[in-house]
Amino acid sequence: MSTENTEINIPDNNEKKDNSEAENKDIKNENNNKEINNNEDIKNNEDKNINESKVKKHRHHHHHKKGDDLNVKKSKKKHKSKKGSQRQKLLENEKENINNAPKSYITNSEKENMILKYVSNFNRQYIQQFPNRKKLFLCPENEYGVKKFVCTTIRPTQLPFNEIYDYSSCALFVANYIKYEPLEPSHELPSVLTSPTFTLEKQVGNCFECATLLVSLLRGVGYDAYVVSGYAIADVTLLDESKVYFEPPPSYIKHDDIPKPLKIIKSNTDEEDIFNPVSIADSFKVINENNENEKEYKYKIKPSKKFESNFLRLQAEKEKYQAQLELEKKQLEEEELQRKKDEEENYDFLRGMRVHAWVLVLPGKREISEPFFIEPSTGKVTDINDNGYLGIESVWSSQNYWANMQPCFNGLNGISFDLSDNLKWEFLLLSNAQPSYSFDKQDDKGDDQGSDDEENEELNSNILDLPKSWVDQLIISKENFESVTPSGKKIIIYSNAKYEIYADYFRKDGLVTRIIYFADDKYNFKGKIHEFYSNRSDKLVERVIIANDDTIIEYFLPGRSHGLKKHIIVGERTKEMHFYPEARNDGLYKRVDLPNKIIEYFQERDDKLNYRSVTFDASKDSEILEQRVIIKMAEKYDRNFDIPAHKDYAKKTYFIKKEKMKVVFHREKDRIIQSWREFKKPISEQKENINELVTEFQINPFLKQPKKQYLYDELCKLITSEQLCLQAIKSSAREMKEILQVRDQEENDIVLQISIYDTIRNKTIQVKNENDPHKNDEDNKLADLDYLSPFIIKFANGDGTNLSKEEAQQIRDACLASFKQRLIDKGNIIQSRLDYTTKEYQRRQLEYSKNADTLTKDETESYVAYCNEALFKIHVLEKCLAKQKEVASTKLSNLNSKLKNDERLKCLYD
Amino acid sequence: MITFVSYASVDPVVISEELINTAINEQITPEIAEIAKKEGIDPEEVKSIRLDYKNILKINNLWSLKNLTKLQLDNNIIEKIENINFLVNLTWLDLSFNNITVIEGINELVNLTDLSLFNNRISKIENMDDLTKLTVFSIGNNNLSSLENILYLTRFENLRVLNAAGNKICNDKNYKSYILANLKNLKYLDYRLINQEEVEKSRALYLDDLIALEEEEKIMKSKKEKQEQRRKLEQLFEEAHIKNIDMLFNDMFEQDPDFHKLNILAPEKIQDLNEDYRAKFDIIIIEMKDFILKKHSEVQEEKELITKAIEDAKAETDSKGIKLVNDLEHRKKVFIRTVMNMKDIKEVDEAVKSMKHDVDETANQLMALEMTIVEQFEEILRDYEKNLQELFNSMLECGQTNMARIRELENNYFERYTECIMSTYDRIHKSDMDSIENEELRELLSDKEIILNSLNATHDFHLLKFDQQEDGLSSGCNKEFEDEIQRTHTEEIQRNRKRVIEIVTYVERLYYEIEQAEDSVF
Repeated sequence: MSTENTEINIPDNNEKKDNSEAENKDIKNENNNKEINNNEDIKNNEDKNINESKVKKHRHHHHHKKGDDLNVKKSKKKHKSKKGSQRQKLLENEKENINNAPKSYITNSEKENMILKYVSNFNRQYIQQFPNRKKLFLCPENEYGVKKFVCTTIRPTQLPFNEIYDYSSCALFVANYIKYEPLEPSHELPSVLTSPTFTLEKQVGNCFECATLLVSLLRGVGYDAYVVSGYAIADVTLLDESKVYFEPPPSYIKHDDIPKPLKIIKSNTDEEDIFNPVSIADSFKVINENNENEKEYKYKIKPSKKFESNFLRLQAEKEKYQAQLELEKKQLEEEELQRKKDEEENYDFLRGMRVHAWVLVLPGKREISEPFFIEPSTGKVTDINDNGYLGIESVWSSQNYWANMQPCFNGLNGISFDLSDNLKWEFLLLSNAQPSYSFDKQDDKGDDQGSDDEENEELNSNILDLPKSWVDQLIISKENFESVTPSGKKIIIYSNAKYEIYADYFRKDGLVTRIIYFADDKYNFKGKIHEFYSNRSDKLVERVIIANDDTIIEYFLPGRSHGLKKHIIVGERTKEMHFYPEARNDGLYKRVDLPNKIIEYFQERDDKLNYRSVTFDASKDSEILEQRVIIKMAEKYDRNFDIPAHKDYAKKTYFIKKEKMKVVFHREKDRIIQSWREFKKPISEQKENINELVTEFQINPFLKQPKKQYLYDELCKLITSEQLCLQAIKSSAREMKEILQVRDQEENDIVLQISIYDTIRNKTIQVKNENDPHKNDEDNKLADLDYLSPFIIKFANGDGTNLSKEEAQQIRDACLASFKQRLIDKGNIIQSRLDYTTKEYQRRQLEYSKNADTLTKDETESYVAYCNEALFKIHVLEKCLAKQKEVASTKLSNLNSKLKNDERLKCLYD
Repeated sequence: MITFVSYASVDPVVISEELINTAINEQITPEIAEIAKKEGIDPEEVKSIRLDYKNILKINNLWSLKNLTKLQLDNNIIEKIENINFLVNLTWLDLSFNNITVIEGINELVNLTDLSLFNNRISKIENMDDLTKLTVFSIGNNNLSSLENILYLTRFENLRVLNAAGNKICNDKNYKSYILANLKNLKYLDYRLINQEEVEKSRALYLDDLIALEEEEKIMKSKKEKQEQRRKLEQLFEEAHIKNIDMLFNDMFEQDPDFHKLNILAPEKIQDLNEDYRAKFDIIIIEMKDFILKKHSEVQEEKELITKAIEDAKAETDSKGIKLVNDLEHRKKVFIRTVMNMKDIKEVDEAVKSMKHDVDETANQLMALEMTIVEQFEEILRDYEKNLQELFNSMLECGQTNMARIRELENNYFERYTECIMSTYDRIHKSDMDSIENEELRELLSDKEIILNSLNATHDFHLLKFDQQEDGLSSGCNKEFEDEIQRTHTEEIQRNRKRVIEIVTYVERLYYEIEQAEDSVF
């Protein structure tokens, strides 16, 4: 990283100006901050000052014009003033929330203070030793402005979701769940590093926060992961993926024939074809060797000799080779030009200075064999030589901190990640000098180090280990976890595609992923849209739309009523349907609908049928099957080895129009020509002369001529099977129509399924269900209850039709009156009961007061029990009465309005 | 038993040709009946026949219906099962409602799956050991009086349905449980689906018996397996032309009368000698056996390889041929369609000509393919012949050298043997001859000539045995080699003939079709 130092100076100067301006503006704000910070205990403040003074010194190298004690805060404030990013706003809000914060978030324990001291010491030495290097990211403030050592900010946690047990899914989760915000300014370390809990809660974070969260999660599930602080290219730091090629994701359903977009490949695709005289000579050798090697094919047939000129062949190949060379040259030139152009256009002034943080996973744990990087902003796993990353300052885990001692002249090429190598990596804490996987060596080495370095030894006795992480356990609710992204959706733009992610159930149509591939004329690719769905009750999982060909391909999971698997629609018309043959009893797996022909393919049928086609008259085309004229139908069969080949049908063709039928038999062993037999449909008189109806070709001249009875029998069977075939075609067409109708309905009214194991969504449904029945019951009761009929029946028509206005009036009044009476009656009943109970109670009370002295204990007890009960009853009845009185009027008005809406009494209100 | 009375009043009938023909004609489908009657039906094509309610007394004259799979002879007055043992294809035999007293004459119907002997007078289940495929067996309404009869049925592993109702054994209170316990694969008994719980109960009831039975079965099975293994090994030896090689040593002595004669002279010494001899002998034999068996398996492998190579080559050429034919068929179709619409004679002529040319061309290509494959086959068959020859030669060589070693061994042995015998003879002879009580021995000792002759005879006998063994190997190898070569060549020639005829037939047919199309235009 030190390579970039010369360049760094330029922006630094600019920066200084910015800083000085910003400082003046922000000094006022600092006072406010101080007030907030007053809550912290004094000791803490003192420590802080010590720390800051160290930082001051450190900063001195970069800023000649040194700021006051609160220099660190200044840069932060400057960000605030520049742009009100979401993160900044949240940070500001959080400060006001400080009273609710856990103690460890707002204070530093003794141990933490010690470590801070120690770290600042380390930092001072580091700066002295490497004055030209950029400062290390060691002790930024947390969201409450408290300084914390970065290692303690990592809180290894395993979230209770199986889905993110793997590093790739884990990375993807962070990338999707946290809204990434680029650093501001992009060439400087951030002053604040929020806790992973904050990041997780607010779903927003910069690269350091994302990386810290991801490392926390990865370490939680057992990976040896590290936060890397370094430099990256603009595209990486700004999360600009528009130059990245998007790899099409794997499909839910295995399918062979999905048209794939052409991939942009720079390398020579067909190297084998390149002419090379030596290689040709070699290839002959290889062939010869092969012949010897292949003992298994000892008796391989030698190919028939071809007589051709070797010279001509070589000549031709040479020419081909030349042509290819030229083509390649041209391509290279073009590419070079393009590259130069790109470079000019995309020259980045800040190249090499853009600060970034990402994640390093080292081998040794969970069957990882090679180190690799994970970019937390995209969740992509990259090689350790990835040219998106330009340099590394330091790496840290929850256990130790290492500063990189290797120069990064050529990006990250040749950088070793053997953290135990002290020449290449300078560790900070002695207690965890090596990465965790080499625990055995650790002790010995630690001792060695101690004896070498006096100062270290001394410190070793003071600081033995890292304090516990100050961060609370990471918690995320299932709802939030399933929401995938902050807003339920996320859109990424790649060089070749636009990638949209939606949370499950976020969209009403169940769409979870949509990828729009852009057209690319260079590769003659016209673009397509690839959509993924989930939880749909119609089992749709994928849809590919190729607008250019007017083609839609839909894929379904197993479980639909007709076993539909794939549906290809070209220009509003079904072209192909594929099925899950195991889900059907006819073994159909594919139906192709051509303009004048429908072909069905079957498999694993008892009758060995594998193909059925029907050809229609092109001149009388019609959409409706009944109106289409069938010219011929054909059925093909697999070989049935139970019967001899000359009796086993390979194909039956029914020429409906010509009134003929033809059967072709399977080939006999060692034959290349099939026998066949053709029948004309007989008229009854022809029965005797079956021979006239039959035309036959039998390839085996030694076979006995079949008997007439056999031929006639065959003919009869064919006539029946023709009918069956016709029926099958008709029912198949009906089925197709049905499928299309169902599909139409489904698309018009998309229903999403909720798994019975889905506790979140099922709970809401349950709650709904609990509420609903009551409402429904009441509604139903009122709706079902025909309160008018007893009154209508008294009138002439009896069924409520044709009522005159007067009659209607009468009915209405009668109805209302009756209802009113009922309410009053009900009230009266309650009242009378209340009266009775009260009277009885009073009577007993009187009795008791009279005989209180003479009563036995039992009697007293029974009296007390009675009193309790009676009082309770009275209380309830009183309440009932109150309610009745209260409700009566509304009920009455309800009925009144209902009557108003009643069809039968319409005439009243016309 | 009761039904017999009612049939007694009618005259008994014998199966006649007329009866059979009527029965056959009755069962053909009405649509083709007319034609079939005129044309006649080949009795060999008849798969099933119904001869029920015919009052048949004696089964006979079914000779012509060789391929019957289903035979119904129910409701007759048959008293004896006879003359149906040759109907080996039968799977379904119905002899219910007859007067049969003994099960017999059906043991060769190994394909039988359904057998009905319902309502007869049978008192014992027997004589059907080989009907291993039997799945449905009906023996209801008979005279079975002993439950032990059921045990006979345990050998039918496929038996699923049994009907034994209406026998005396049904009165036994253990009837059902006894059957369920013993016939474990049974699914239906006496028209009823068997309840699995009941089976468990019954099995518990007869547990001890069953265990004993199973034990017995196991022993039988292992015995059988051993026998089978032995048989297989012998077969292998025979195939490798070293038949009885394991028994060679034993035979050498046991089949030799002279040896036994001399053996009494000094049985112990000879025993020692023999044991020594045997040890050395066995080493050589094992060596030889191993080598020859190895080579034998190599030969088999070679055979498989050549078959595979030929099959592959055939498949490849055939697929090319099929493509040619299919293309031609398509062109012919187009031709016929276009010719039909032509008006001009000249044009038609032209088209016909070119089509015929096309046919010739394709035929030539097919023939060329055939010629290539013939050449190729010739070549690989030559290689094959050479390799086989080598293998067999090595086998013969091995036989020769090892036999030579054995002969040497024999010579050695013979020397010591002679010495042993002679010294004993001398010793005994010198001592008191009269003290020997054994008559035979005395006689033997009386004449030295006899001993010498016997000695030589023994030696000769041994040598003869070796020669036989060696001859067996060499003649066997030669024969196998020749047979194999013969076979591959004939197969190849037959294949070639077949293909050539096929092509010629096809071309003829195409010409015919083309001409017909031409004719139909005019």
